[in-house]
Amino acid sequence: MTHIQKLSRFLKWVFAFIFCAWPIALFFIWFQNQSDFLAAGIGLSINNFIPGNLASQIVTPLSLTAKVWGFMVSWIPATISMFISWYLMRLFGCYEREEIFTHRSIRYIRYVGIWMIVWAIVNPIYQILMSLTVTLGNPVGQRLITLELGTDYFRNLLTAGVVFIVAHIMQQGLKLKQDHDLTV
Amino acid sequence: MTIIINLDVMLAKRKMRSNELAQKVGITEQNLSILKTGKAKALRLTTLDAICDALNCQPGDILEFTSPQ
Repeated sequence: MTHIQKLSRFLKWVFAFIFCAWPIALFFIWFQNQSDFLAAGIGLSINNFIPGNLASQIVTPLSLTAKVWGFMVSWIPATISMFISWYLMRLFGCYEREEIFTHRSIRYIRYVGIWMIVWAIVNPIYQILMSLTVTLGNPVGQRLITLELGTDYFRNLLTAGVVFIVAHIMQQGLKLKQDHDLTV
Repeated sequence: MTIIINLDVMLAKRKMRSNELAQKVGITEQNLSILKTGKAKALRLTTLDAICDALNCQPGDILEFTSPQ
């Protein structure tokens, strides 16, 4: 087994773990009995799902209803992350089988790029929904709807674009390889 | 593809087997099969030269253009 195969197998299992861990982690984060928003046993907290500096604006502990809504809204980034993890798992599965320049592996790279773009599109909606959910319990006048399009947002969008372009270049590479293979 | 490879015809005329031709030309039998079945996208001049030399024929005896209509 080559070095690439070993590394690909390792990464395949890492992404498989991430894929499976998302639903469990989400449930644990939102419904564990935590006294403040920063304390969480596994290093993740509700804060990871609250956009910007909104955590400091939450003046009352989250009610069970708010947590249920927050849990459901958190499924937006979680679903996208799960899709990305799934396709990365499949991609490294291809690399493990030494399928590097194949239609299948290139398709998975393209899907990763598509889901990253989907996240960039959905992110503002998610921010609005989440800010509304977590501040709905605040007194009137302190309820917020936030939308932040900072450098992180544009960096994610740029990364998604780059991944998409890489997939396109690999598609051209595959075409060249096929031409080369069919030259006698 | 409108270019037809008449390699089978020339092989039959020369009473030569595919593996023998592949050996004389210096290509694999798999590549010769790609050529014979018309799957090849390109043919190197050096390969064509070697095939013509081995079969003692002209390029026109192997390659034939037919109109798509």
